[in-house]
Amino acid sequence: MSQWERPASGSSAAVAAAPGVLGAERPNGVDSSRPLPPRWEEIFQGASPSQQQELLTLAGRQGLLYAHQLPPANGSRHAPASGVAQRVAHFLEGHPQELAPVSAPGVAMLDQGLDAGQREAVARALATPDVCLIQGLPGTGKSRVAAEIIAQAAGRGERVLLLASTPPALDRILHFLRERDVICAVRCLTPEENAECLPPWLRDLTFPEKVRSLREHSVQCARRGQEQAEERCRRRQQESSRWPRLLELAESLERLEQARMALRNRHAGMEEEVRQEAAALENSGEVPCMNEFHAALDACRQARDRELTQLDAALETASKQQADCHQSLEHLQALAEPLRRSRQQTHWWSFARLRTLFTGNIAARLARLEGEIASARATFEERAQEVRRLTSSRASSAEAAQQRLAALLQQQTRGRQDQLHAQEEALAHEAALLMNKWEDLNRELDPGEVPVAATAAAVLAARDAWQVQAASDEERCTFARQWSNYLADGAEALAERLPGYINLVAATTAALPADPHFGDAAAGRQTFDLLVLEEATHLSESAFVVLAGRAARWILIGLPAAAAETAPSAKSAAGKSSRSAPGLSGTRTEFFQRLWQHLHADPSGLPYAWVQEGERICCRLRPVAPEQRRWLECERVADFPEIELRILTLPRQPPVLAEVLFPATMTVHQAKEYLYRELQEFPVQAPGRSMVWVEVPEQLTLRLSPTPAADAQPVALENGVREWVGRAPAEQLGLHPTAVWHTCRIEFDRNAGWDRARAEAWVRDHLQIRDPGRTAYLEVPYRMTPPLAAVLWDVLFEEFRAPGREMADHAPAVEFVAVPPLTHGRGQRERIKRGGPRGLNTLTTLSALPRSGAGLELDLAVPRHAERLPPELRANLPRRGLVNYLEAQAIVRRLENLISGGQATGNQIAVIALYPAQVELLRRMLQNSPTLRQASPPVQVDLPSGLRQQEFDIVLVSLTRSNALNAVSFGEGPQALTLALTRACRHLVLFGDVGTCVRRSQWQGALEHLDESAAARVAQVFARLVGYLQGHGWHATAFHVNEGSKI
Amino acid sequence: MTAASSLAFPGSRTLAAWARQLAPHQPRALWVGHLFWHVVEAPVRAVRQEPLDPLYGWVLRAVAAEQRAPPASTPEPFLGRLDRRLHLGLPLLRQVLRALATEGLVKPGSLDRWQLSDLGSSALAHSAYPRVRQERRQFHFVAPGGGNQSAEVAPHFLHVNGVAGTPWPEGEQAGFDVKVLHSCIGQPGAWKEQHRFPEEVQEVVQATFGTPALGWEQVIVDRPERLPAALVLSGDEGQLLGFAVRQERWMLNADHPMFTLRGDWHGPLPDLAVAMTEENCRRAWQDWCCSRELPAAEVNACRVQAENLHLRVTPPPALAERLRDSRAVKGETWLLAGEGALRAALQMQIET
Repeated sequence: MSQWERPASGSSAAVAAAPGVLGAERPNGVDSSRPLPPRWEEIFQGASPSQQQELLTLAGRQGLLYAHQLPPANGSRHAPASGVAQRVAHFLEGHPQELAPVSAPGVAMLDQGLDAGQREAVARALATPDVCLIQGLPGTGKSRVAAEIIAQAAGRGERVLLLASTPPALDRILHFLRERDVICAVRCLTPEENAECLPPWLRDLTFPEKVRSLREHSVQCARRGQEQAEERCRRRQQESSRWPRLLELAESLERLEQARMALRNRHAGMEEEVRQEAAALENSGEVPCMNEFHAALDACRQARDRELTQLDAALETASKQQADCHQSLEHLQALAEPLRRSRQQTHWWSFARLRTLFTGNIAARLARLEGEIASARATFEERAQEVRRLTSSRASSAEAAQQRLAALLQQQTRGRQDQLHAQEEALAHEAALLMNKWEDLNRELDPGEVPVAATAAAVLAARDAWQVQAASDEERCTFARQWSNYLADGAEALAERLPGYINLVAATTAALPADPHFGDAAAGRQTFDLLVLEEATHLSESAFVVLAGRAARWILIGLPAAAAETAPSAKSAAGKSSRSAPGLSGTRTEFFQRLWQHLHADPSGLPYAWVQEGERICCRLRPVAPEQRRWLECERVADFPEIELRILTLPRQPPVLAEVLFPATMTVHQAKEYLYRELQEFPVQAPGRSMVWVEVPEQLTLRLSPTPAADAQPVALENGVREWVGRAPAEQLGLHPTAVWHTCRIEFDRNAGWDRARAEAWVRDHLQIRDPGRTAYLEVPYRMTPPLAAVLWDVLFEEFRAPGREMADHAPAVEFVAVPPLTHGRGQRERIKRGGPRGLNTLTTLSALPRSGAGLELDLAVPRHAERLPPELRANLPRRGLVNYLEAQAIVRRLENLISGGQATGNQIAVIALYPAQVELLRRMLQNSPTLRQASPPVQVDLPSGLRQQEFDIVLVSLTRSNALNAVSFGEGPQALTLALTRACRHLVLFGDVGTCVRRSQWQGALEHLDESAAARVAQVFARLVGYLQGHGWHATAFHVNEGSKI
Repeated sequence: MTAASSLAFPGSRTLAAWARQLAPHQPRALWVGHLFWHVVEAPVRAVRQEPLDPLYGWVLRAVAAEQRAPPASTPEPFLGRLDRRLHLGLPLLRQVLRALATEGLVKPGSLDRWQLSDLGSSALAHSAYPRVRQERRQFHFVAPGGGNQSAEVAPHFLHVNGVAGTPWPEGEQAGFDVKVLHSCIGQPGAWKEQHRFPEEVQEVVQATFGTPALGWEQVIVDRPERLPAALVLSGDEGQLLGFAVRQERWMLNADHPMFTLRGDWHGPLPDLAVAMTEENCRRAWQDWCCSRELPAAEVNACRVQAENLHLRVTPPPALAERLRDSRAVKGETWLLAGEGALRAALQMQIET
């Protein structure tokens, strides 16, 4: 929604008195005969784009605009559509060059499945400041694109008005949007519709249902929410008493745990404790209180001391004796030593030798002394041994005493530890009891609110969190109570405001004006930011102008011109109802197609062609009519004589370069490079009907073909610009029989400095095609498999060949079941080999198709015809109408095979008949078939209009007509036929009389209820169908003729 | 430029009828003629204190509560939690939130976490908030001197209720100067209150001068208009009431004044005082007499005095006799004094 309010009076009082649009009502003092001056907004909106730009520039320069500078505005102030009419007129009559081109930046898609072309369509629709047209054949994703546009616009805060001629078109788009909560949608009912008959999801989108939901559902939910909140609060109150108990328990448990911990610590340190106690007793000899342990310890020590004392005394004695012995020994040694030295002295002049000489008996004395020494040594040894023994004994005694002491200490330690253990167990038992109570209490709390540990701190933390939650619950309860009361009291007022919050209003063009909430008479006429007009093909300009006045920007979605002539019109869709949709154009395609032609830049319309002339490539720079070719003059390029220039020199006209013929040695890529480099020509032959920009981080691509060519090669044009050229696919050859090369895309490297604006400018300059950026053409068929699309587009919309998607599915997508069979002399089979573009394969064809119908159709108004039907079927059929019983039988048999063979379920198949009576007959026959009666869900049988905007895997079409005498029409006309043939996704089976089809294809001129134009369209369709029956179709391999033997 | 001489003025009978129509307003003076004004349509930013809508209040409360709410054990999208409070359904809830965001009361955060803005918190606390709007408004600026472009006095703001005049084809030279509007916006509150200039208008929203406007919304448009009017100085309080007149058959809309000026009405409409001067009154009397071919000497000898709605004329006896004989004064006779676009209407009273 725009941030700008409509002009209001400068006076606050006036605002209060008459808020809203100034001048909406005729003010006081105004001459009623004089029209009010148009508002600035109306003048501006009615101005042409160039005028608008001038006005804005002038306003910027002057600071304001003066009345005399404003362009005159048409229409009165009370006709809001007048400005729209002028805008539309500018689009239709002005020059596209005046329109500032819309550069659509890339948009992050919500629907990731969209292809590049569809994304470009969405981006352009969102970026356009005024109008955007989207065109595509049935099944190319127009509804899906519309849904994406709406979702994106709603996400940007815009209000969207979705209009279509028929409810199914609306519902298909709404179906795409139903999961998007960014959209608050209302589906307006047509007078013929009953909300009760709509599917539930769609019924919920109707305004009465939304109001009812607000009044009932929301109020009930609010009350329920209130009750739940109150219940929660009650529970909180109950829980509040648990926290003191939990805290008390946690504290007790903590105390117990602390005690247990102390016991465990003491247990661990008990050995040391006892040891220290023993040491203290030993050191001080006193203990605070003497106990058994102390007494034992004391006794043990005393015994040790006694024993050691005795041993010490003995040791002392022995040591003394040993010392005495040692002394004696030393004395004897001293005595003996001189004697030994004397005897051992060898020098005769030494004193010892002399003494030995003068002292006699030395040897004897020495011998005696030696004996005494030996004796003394032995005694000494004895004593030493005694000392060692005593020392050893003492050590042993001391050790034994120590061991006894240690054993005593160990015993004491163990005893005390046992006591501690017992105490700890008692504490553990007590803790377990408390823990049970703890857990019992916790079970009454929400799991998320239970304290993480059985500690006071954890309890306090959990209690704090609980209190926060309780406060929140209390607040929620109060809120719920008050909100519930508000809703109950104010639901009506809220319902009245509801239209203001609706950001998507979906209505048929017929139903919108009369809608009580969003129509012309609704209080406070609703305006929208965006109008999405689906099925715009058949809307007249005047009707569009009226509708467009409701929105600032318009997106029109429709069919291409040629397809529109065969496509279903809203008028035919409205044919079922008593009133027809207003605003349908008499000349049906006029407005939408005119606008399209004015705004769309179609690259396939460029005049260039790259053709093969023998072995040489020729570039045609402009079309030269056969009769003009004689004016072509050849000239060779001076510095490149192999290149031939063909110059068209028409009389009284300046010569122009028409064609360039390259030598056989030059490839198309070299030729293109040469033309760009030397002649500054950029002749592009584009297969696509639109220019699609695809942006990736590294490069920008202008896509000129909906499908990439496998053999495309780049042609370097200038720095960062490449043209990709490939061979045209076979189906394109039909459009330009000799054109063999086309440009798939042009790439611009961002690294080389290219951005979107620069690239667009380059394309404008070099391609000489100006794209206002307000159209998008959807080229890729998605509903149908490639083979099916290929055949159907060829049959129905010959001008629009389906892009060459990969046709992996080789099974025939379209089957024609001949009723009656062709084998009874009505058709002859032959195997032929055809050359040329329209017969690429060797086919088994029917060379001689019957030229007239078999006469199987029954007119129920003729009694003798009706009598040919079985009585049980005849009874309740309409009194008038055409049926073909044989064809109906064939359809039922095929259906039975499909269902019983498990090839499809009921909801994947639809049967379409072109006549109501045949529909009724088929329904009865399906009811009579045991197999089909049990199919769940049942197979839908309807007229084409009944299956509008629906699609099925397999569609069986009963063409019904089988007339032996005349050419006859098939159904309501080309629209119904197109609708019938385009409902299938995978497989289409046509049941019909070949002879009647052949005769229809040959009939020229008006026929039955069809005017000449409509009849001619049908004839063209049948002519192409007959071509396929003869094996002449472009995609003959995807078409199969069931001659009837297997019916 | 429009010459006052080319303008049409009502005659005596019309003035007499208007005087009767305006009698309930206790007129002390009456002026009739043509108002020339510039109707300036300008984009402005207006701020009004508005009460908080109850629905918005509840949604703001819910958003605030969800912001404060302790984190849930199971993570749930913010909007989902909000809708569990409000039960409006996500599509409708989103639209209400978007409306609140447009008002600046909430702002979207990442992952659809909406939060109260400062303005939203304040609005919730006070149940009211200053509502900011960018809107196109019309302002009337009365041109002094009857639209005479030579007048050096700038146009003056006039608070006018829902009227529209006829286009006044003025040249570019006499165009409106936007500075006048800017200066009005910059006036103190007392001035705005006195002249009933909308106080909520904060500024003119305009593209930078000298650069093209970004959109039509930013363009200021000046439309000069002319409106026949009757102005009444009413009651003891001395307020000036303006009434629109339809020039065709001089139909006065006396029920609803198109503007009311209290106190200093001379500022916006200085021409009124000029019209009431003694000289103009005397000239009006002389013109009236001249058209009746009364002797100029006697006419000039009259004592002329304007008093409230009356022009009291004391003629010399000869002239009084002549007037009586000629029956020139029949019933109520009203004169217009002054020469500008606005002239004083006076009922002639012959004092004998």
